[in-house]
Amino acid sequence: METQKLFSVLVIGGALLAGGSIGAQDGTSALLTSEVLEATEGEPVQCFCNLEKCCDVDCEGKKKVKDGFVCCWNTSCDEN
Amino acid sequence: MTKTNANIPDVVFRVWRARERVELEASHHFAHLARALSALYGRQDRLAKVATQAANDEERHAELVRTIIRHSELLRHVPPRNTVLGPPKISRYDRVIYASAALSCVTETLSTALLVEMQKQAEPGLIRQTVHEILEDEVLHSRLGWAVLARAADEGDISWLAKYIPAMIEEAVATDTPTLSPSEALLDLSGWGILSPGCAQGLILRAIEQVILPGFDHLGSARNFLSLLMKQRRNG
Repeated sequence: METQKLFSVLVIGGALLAGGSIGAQDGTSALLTSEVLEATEGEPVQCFCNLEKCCDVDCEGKKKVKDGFVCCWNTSCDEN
Repeated sequence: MTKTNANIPDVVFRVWRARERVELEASHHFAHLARALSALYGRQDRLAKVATQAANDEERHAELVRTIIRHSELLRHVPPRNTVLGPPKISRYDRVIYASAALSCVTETLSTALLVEMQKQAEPGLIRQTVHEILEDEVLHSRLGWAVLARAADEGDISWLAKYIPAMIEEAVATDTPTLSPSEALLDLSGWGILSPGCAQGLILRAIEQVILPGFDHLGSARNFLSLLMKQRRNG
């Protein structure tokens, strides 16, 4: 099932890159944009949590995935 | 690497040398794609800039790979610099689409799928760090191809590409699958960043079926053609 998530990251991410929703220089990190959230119709955005900026640190100092994102391919914010 | 050189099977060097060659070839082709995109859409085209970045990334990947194989005594293979992707008699515009599909949509997508698993299995240290750094770039390199195709599909009909896709996949699979002898295939080389043939083949098949096939789905006949190909591969 993980490869299905890769479709969102690569193919949809590429389409957004073509449309300018993702910047040329920060294509791997710009999944934070609201356009992506809209493009996925409310579904959480698949994200390589070990590579992309979709993680936050909570009040207790623990890393966690931001709202609207879900870690794909068994990646986790702890690896970031 | 935490293991001593004496413990490293020769196949590890052989596979990583092959990867160095693949990285250098990819750099060459991305540089060519960048020039073609600039010629078609102007120097400020965002996808041309991504392609230029990808060419530089691949050069850097080759250097990273060399840190792993620097103990090897064999000379570095220098790839031919005058090759271009695609059939001989197509326009520059169509060649950009062809190259993007072959290089990014197929090859870099398969590479991403394999590297994700390699990273999980690689031994902590130089190997995992190298795989991680390469993977980080391959995501963008794959997206570049899907971006070029998305733009081209907006501009016109790209269904002509369908007949070339099976050959692109065959070539990419051959490149991404390390050639191991029967005895080497029995070794657990995952710590060295080398997946078992069975694992690699499974990942490749899933990536083709669940990422590349749906990605090309808008090309119409491509899906049926590729589904047939996949059945043939399974039966063969």
